[in-house]
Amino acid sequence: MSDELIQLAQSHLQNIPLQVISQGAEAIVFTTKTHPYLPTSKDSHTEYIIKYRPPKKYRHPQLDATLTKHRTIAEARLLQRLTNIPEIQSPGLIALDARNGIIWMEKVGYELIDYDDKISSLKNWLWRYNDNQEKALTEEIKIALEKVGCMIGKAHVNDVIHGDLTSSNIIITEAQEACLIDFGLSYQSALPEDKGVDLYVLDRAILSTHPKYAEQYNEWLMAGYERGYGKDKKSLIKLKEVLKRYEEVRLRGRKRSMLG
Amino acid sequence: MLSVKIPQFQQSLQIYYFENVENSTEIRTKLLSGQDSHNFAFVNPDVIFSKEQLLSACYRALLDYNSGKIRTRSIHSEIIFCLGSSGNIVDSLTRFGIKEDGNRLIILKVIEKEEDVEYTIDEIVKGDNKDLDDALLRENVDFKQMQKAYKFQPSLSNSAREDFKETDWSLLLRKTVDLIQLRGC
Ligand SMILES: Nc1ncnc2c1ncn2[C@@H]1O[C@H](COP(=O)(O)OP(=O)(O)OP(=O)(O)O)[C@@H](O)[C@H]1O
Repeated sequence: MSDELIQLAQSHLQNIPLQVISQGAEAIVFTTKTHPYLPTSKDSHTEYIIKYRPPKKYRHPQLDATLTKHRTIAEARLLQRLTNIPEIQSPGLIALDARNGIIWMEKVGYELIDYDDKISSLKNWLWRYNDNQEKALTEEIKIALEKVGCMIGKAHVNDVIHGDLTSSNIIITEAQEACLIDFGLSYQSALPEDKGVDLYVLDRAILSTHPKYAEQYNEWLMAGYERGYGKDKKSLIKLKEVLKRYEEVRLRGRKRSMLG
Repeated sequence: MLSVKIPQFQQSLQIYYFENVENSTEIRTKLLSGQDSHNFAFVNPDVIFSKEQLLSACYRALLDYNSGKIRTRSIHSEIIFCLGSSGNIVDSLTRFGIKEDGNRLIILKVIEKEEDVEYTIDEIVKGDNKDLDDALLRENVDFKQMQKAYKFQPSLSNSAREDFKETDWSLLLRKTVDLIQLRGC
């Protein structure tokens, strides 16, 4: 089944060597060293990301083609939106083949040499130290988590809701800056409720992925988040509104889990 | 001349850059009358600041061409259309195509696989054949025309090219590529 999908991707991407790095419910993600249109030198180590949304056989073909095209465009549009918010780091869009469900983008992050060469997602970056409390709670980690929070705050100030804030969808770059990826569920909204839910998703993700240190990590993230709103009065009023909704959403979540 | 093969597609590209062009009017007249000898994309360099910008549009044009989805008459006019961010073909051809009084010119030729194309570029253009080089393009790009063509936010008209730093150029490139790739979406 998945071999078939990879072959299908290859048929749309002739002469492009593809390496699968992730296979989710919606998309297959490949890396390649071949740029779609710039001449690439043979010894270049730069890699690019190709995100491919294959057809879904259980859907009506016409409907499926329309949906795939729309979702691919929506994600590319979000990358464009983020280009225009320079304070937020995000992968640049390189090419778009919406009819075939393909987005080319920059690859961000690096390989963690002290962690099986895994990609420097916030998840892996933190997990390196999971068994060492001293290292897990250093100033370095505090600063990085505050940067992550700050960037999410900036996204919210600009009414960008990520929609799937997990520690896998946040990349730490080699310069120890935070970078967002995976905008498959992202959208624009000014509603405090949507921002509160976005934060709640992050809170839960940290709790389930980094349970040992979740309380401290979330505290640092939220400190950064507040900083991301800046200091002017208008923003601070908005921040307060979001934090209020966030508390309410958390409370609803807790009640739900108590009722079991 | 710069020769480029875009890996996904059969076709390849030849790209020229000329300065001190003397016969823009003549080229334009022949082009508009549809002469076979002028089957090229003649691009106005005033709105081009990077090879990546050009190639990004070529990629899009070839993608649409090879899927039978082009909106203009030929692959060459499609490349010019694809340089723009608007769905208005006439508008894009005017802004990105050869200018009657232009003294610089970018010329692209798409060559089909195993096609034997014979032409002598010097018979078409009278001018100085130069290497296509980003530094040269940046030095001469016209921010006012760029702004009209791409409608950047914030506007580019108030920026001075001399004050542009490397990070400004790369942000501008990223915005331009976004617009080219997402045109009509
Ligand atoms: N721009 C990028 N730079 C580096 N790595 C990336 C990039 N985009 C995606 N990846 C890698 O590919 C993985 C999956 O990508 P993404 O989350 O966009 O796809 P998805 O199908 O939505 O995944 P999932 O369903 O698992 O959330 C990411 O977790 C990350 O490891």
